[in-house]
Parts: sequence; structure tokens; C-alpha cells
Amino acid sequence: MALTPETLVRHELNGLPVRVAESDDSSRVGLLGRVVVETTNTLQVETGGGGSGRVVTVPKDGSVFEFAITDDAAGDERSPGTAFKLADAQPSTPASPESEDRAGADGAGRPDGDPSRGQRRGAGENVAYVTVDGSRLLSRPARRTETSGDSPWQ
Amino acid sequence: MTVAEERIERLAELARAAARGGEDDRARYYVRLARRVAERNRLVLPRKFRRFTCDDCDAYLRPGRNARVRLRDGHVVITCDCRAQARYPYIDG
Repeated sequence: MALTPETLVRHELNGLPVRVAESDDSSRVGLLGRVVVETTNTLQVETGGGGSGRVVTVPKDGSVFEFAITDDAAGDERSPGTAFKLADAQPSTPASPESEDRAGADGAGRPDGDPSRGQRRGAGENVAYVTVDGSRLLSRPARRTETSGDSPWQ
Repeated sequence: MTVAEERIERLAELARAAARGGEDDRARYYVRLARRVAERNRLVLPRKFRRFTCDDCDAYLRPGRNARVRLRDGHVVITCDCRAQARYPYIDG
């Protein structure tokens, strides 16, 4: 179960490059950085690189995040500027269908490859951008993995 | 490999990077989160993770920096800055 757009919501968010696509607080929109700390209700994003940047706390609720997934998301230090500009030009996902999807899926089990689970875009150099409504991430960091397990019995 | 196992692996990497960058508290946070994920998913933490983290204060240990490594008869004693000691055996080669 590699880190894919389907598994991102259950996977580790710390260390991922992220962009705040939408937020209730307009000053946070467009914030670009790396997730360093996750709490139940917030993500702390370090802007600028290499531990020197400033850490901004972004509430999950009321924000839409755009995560960049690379083949080696944990290790490599990409320069985020150009790649994110490409993603910027595209329209972002509306929030409402995603929350509906979540409510419906709780009872019925999620079909694989459901396109509304997260908008996928190819942008070359093995980078995929996944847009996730922050309300889907509202969970204790360690418990997010379990919400729908890999077990066929669930 | 399950999502939980991969999370633990990535958290170990993050903890090591944070410890190397001097951010000890953040490294601690990653170590604690990895332990919690393993606990919730009933996984055994990788041996490397167990040997390079402090059981007492959850610090990610860097021998020579925040940990002292000494060899005793048949075992290694690793002492964290918090003075907690861990022992594990080695086989004379």
C-alpha cells in the first residue's frame, strides 16, 4: 500500500510538500511548505526549507490542502516553486462532493478508484498532486490509518 | 506492506532527519507517533528503530551526540542523555 492518492488520507502526512489551496482565512491561501507536525485539528506547515522557515498552524477544518506525492516523498528535497505553479493554474475541487462521498462511504465501503476521493493530476517528473478537503483529515494522527483498513473483513 | 508499516518507516526517517537537524523535540514527536501507530496496529517496531530510540524519553539517539555507546561483556550498553540505559547482546565475531 504505497502512498497513492487513494491511500493518502490514511497515510503519513508529516514530511509531505503541501499547498493550502483554499482556506477560510484568506491569508493562509497559497501557503507553501512541508507538513512538520500533525494534530487532531491542525497541520503545522513549515514554509521555506531546511528547518529555517517559519511554522504556520493551519486548521484542517475549513481548508483544502494540495499534497504533492513523489516516488520518494519522504526523502527528497524538491524545489517546490515551479511545480506548484503548474498546479495553481488548474481549478481546485469544490468541497461539498468530497464530504458527501465520505458520508456515503462509511456505510457502504469505498469502491476502488473512485475519482471523487481526491483529484489527481499528472504534472510530469513523477509528481502527483492530490487535493484533499481538510475535513476528511480530522482525526487523531495515529488513528487515521485505521478508519478503513486493508482487511477484507471490514 | 501495509499503510501502518510504511508510516512507521517514514516516521523513523523523519525522526532521524529532525535529530540530525538539531530539532530534538520534533524528533521526539515523530518517535512517539511511530510508537503509537505500531501500538494501534499491533506491529513490532523495526529493530533499527528500537535500538536508536530511547525507551524513556523517546529521543532519537545519535551515538556520540545524545547517546553513549559502551561495550560490555557480551552486550552493548547505550545510555541516553536522560540517563536511561538500554542493553542488547552482540555476538563476538
